[in-house]
Amino acid sequence: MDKIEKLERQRNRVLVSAAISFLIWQGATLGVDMIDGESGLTPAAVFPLQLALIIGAVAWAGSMLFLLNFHHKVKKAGAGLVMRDELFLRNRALAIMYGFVGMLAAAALLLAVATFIDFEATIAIRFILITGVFTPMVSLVLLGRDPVGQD
Amino acid sequence: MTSPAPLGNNLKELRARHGLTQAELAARAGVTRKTINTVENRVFIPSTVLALRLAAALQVSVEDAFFLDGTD
Repeated sequence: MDKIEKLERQRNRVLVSAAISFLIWQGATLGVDMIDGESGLTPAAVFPLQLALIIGAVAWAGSMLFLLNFHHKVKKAGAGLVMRDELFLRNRALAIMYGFVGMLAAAALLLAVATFIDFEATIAIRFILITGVFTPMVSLVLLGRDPVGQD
Repeated sequence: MTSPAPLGNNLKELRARHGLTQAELAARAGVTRKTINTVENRVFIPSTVLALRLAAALQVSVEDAFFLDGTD
């Protein structure tokens, strides 16, 4: 496997770890918000959620460090242009579009739910934010898969 | 499943003629191997610039490397 392939794999790993840690961190925060609000969730659920919040936040910070390290490796290898080639730019644009569509879908879902349940604006904003960050990261990784094997 | 792109190509045959792997052609054209793979498999339509670069890397004209579906 050449250095570009290795860097691509590392980029995917960084994206997946960042997406999952963000989901855990902000998902747990969303849960705590719901307990604090008038959603009906019991305080007994607070401890595991707070634990998940801390683990997620630490993992997110770790992912950002991995991302910095990754950028350093790309710069050192002089592979910036190859790593941001035409296919990557196309996939990145698609991933951002999927994120935007996901945010619209999340907003529409929240509007529908708001007809039946009252919730705070913070909860809605956080839910839309999670969708807007998680969806493009995961989409970018999925779009970068090979259609068939290499030779 | 999505339908293949309307731009056909002879990249695989041309690569074989030159004894190049996808990774080697990618290195010559300054792109990733995945880009070569997706172009070959008609998942990704390259820009004119990339098509010219690929043709140059394979030492053929762009018309020899790429064709519109049904015109080959």
